Amino acid sequence: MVLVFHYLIMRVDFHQGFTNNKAMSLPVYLHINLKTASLEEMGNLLHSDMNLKHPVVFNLKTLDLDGQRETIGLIENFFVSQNLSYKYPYPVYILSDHEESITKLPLVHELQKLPKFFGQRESKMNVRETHLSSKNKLLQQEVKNNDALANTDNIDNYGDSHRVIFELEQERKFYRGILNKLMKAQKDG
Amino acid sequence: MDKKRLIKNSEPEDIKGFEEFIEGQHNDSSFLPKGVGGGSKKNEAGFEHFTFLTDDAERLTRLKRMLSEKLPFSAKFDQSDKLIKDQRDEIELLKKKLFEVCDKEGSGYRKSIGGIFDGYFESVKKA
Repeated sequence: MVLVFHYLIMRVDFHQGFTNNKAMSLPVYLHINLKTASLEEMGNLLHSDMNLKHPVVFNLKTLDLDGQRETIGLIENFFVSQNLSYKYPYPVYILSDHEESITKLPLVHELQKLPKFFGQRESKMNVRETHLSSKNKLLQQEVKNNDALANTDNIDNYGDSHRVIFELEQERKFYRGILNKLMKAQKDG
Repeated sequence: MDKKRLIKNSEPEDIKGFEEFIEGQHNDSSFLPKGVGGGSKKNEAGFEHFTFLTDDAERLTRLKRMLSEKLPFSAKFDQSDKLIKDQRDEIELLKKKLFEVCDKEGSGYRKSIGGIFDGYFESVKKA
């Protein structure tokens, strides 16, 4: 009886290990080609862990311009309403014909414009890589667990105040430069 | 320091037990691990992926540090307002000094302005 129980536990462990290994993949782009801009399809596609393990590219090129705009709005709303970040652990990109200014999500017009860092060739990982990938899994989860909204606010505030500091520093340098020149001219007579 | 050397025409019997220390074997690579020293494409790709995963781990670590340590710290002990105030004070001081220098008797600024005004009003007077 005990042996049978042990055997069952081993089978479960082996099975879990196997499925985990199988699920582990390189963090390369996951391309999602949208055929329609329906709410149902988007509801099925969008979930909280979509950018947990790899960057995502929504290809909206097949949709018309109105459909693209609606879909971009839906994706953006999803991330904001769920208090999730579309920048980390992995970024979410939109491939669209619209201008970048219509959304806060990173938007590109061509696939070639996507960052090359995640554009790796996917293949089976060896033992070392699998081990490293499993280590990264913990980091991904830690990064994801941060409060996205609070972090975005903090980053925005930090950016705004440092932009002001930069401008004031430029102004200060300008006045300091003039004053130094005048003082030097006075000294030289 | 020991160096791994290519052994030529060795009898398989002679090198039994030392296979893992030998990097290349002339005319017979069947007992060696695949790709060792040969630079096969599979191994190159594996190395590439390992580097990529290492870089990604570094990226995630930095991201984690920024989000969980640096951002809360900078939000809690924000020095921006103080810096902005100090810069504004210094700019005011510099402007004041500039004005004093320019307003001095015989200063370059006064001379230039005097030249412009004199030139204009002299011509008006003559006319």
